[in-house]
Amino acid sequence: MLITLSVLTLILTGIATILFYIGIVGQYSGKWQKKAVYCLGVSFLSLSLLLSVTFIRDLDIYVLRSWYLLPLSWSILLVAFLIYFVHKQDIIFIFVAPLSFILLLSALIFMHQEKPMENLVTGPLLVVHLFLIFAGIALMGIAAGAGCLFIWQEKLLKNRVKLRNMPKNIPSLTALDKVNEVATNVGFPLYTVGLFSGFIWAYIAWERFFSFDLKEIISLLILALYGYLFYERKVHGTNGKKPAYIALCVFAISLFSIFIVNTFLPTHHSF
Amino acid sequence: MSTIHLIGLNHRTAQVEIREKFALVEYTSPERWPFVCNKSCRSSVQNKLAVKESLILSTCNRVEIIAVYDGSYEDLMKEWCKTRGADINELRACMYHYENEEAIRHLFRVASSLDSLVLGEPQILGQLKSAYRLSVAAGHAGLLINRLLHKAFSVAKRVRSETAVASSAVSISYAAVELAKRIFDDMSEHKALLLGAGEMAELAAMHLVQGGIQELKIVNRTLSRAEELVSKIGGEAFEFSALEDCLCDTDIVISSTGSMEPIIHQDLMLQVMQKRKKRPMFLIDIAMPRDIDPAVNHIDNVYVYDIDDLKEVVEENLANRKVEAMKAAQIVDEEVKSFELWCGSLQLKPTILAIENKGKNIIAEEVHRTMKRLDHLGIHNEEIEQALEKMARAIIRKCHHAPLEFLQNSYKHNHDTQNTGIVRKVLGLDE
Repeated sequence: MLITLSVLTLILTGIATILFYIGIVGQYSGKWQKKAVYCLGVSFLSLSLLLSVTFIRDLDIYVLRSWYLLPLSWSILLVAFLIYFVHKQDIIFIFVAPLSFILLLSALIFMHQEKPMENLVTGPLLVVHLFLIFAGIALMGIAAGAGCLFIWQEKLLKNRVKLRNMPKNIPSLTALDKVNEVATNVGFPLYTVGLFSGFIWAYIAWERFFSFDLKEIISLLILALYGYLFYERKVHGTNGKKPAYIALCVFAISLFSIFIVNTFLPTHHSF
Repeated sequence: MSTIHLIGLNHRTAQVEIREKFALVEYTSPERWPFVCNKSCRSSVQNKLAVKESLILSTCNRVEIIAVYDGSYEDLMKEWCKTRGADINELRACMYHYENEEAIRHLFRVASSLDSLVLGEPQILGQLKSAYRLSVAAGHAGLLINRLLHKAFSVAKRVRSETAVASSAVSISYAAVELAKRIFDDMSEHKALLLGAGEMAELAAMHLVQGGIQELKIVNRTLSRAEELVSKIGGEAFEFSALEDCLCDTDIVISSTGSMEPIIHQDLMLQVMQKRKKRPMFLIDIAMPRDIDPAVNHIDNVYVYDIDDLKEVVEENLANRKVEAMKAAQIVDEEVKSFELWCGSLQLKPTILAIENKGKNIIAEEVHRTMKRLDHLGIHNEEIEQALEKMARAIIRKCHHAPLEFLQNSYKHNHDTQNTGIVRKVLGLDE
């Protein structure tokens, strides 16, 4: 059942991604994007069901690599839908849909390589750690997506591309900057609390807060960069291209940490 | 008849940098005029080309010289380049030249806004009227320029009233607002600054006001002009010295001053951006020469668009209005023919004048001779002299009516001036 649900979610996310790109690249009026949002909505519900079933069945027994990627995908979709309902901006899905697809596909591939995590310590602290870290990364992803679109639109404007050659559905620069700002302002505190709850969890599990594990070092690097972005926004009121590039950079390091470090390098998170 | 030359360059043939280089905006007095009028001040200015009549039209999208001149248009080009200190080959590469009928047609098309960047836009007619006023003030508008320009104004009026070429006009300001929406999410949260109080800036500002802009500031060298504009479209007027402060507080700037040098430099904008914490700014430069240094566009969060960047509106516009423009072109053709006819009739003028003069001479001679005879008879009365003159004039007029009508009709129907020779012979005008 879990496999069926995973495949169904993956297919729906893939269809939604294609529909978004048809709508955006073809410069259609929004009909395709609307279909894509519905499709992605069903995919999100299906993923929620999948996670609920997994949570009830497996959390007390195993923490799996696939389980690690699925909530991340779910968190990103949740944040994107929240932004969609508040700001009525569906353009963020152009970034979120393929990212969710990649995360779901990876989860499906790794499902066959499940192995139990060592020294498993369960309990509410782990849930807090995972939930907040994922929420922080999801918001980081949204900030990076908005930043990506900002850089694209900014480049078109700087190069004085003709009005009719500009994509119709991209929001204004200030709107994209606002999304980046909100995602950073909410995402950084969540990520920080999530990370420190992880350190506390590590202390309970391994009797040390920090063990110079590669994953931990990279997480601190991400925290520093994320913090710098937050500081620049809050203290200096920095806006525009710089926060967009920083958000992209932070998210790229996060993806590196999730896919490369977790999979190929020896770390506590290689489960 | 002298040749009507029209030489110029416009948005289609020359880039903004070239148009800037050849712009002729500061020629507002006879002393500054690049040519001398060979009727008036030939002796006072030795090193300028003498033409019979001339008019200079210099706008942001075109620079054109209309000259009634017997020589080659190359002389006009050389004088133009000399005035601007530019290379003639550079001008030749992007210049067009029309003579007589083609020159008239081009001028009528320009006046009717058929050749404008934004087809059907109304500003060009006002700019042409200003150019004509300057030509008159400089003493360069003679018989042909006067008639040509008045005709151009009436053609423009006819095109506007008989076609829809100017209806639902999209304009540079429309494009500017569309671009502003790419940068700013909600126009009602942003402020705009109008630098210069020209006609184009006024239109753009009106579009912004209609677009829901939060606040409008107008900065102009002449405060009274800014205040005049404020009374029309709202906002607040400021002295030119308040420019930097105004820039710090506004997000959209529309600049259209008549300054020959850029007003907004990179250094100024760097200071401004520092003060406004690098919040994005959109600057639209519709002035010619440009008011905003192009290097300003290199500053982060500053987006500068000039008049050439808004050209695309024209392309869309042209497609929508092709049919109307064709109708307008027919009107222009009709009016060109009518003007040509008038020009041709100028060739008959010496013959008509000669006929009239001959008639006057005959009247004077015959009245004088008859009065002498009457003197001998002891009859001298002023009333009799006046009556004789009146009768003689009537006889001469009736005698000349047929040959004059023949001359005018033969030109009107066949564009033929050969018959003037016959008439001159028959009436013995060359004896």
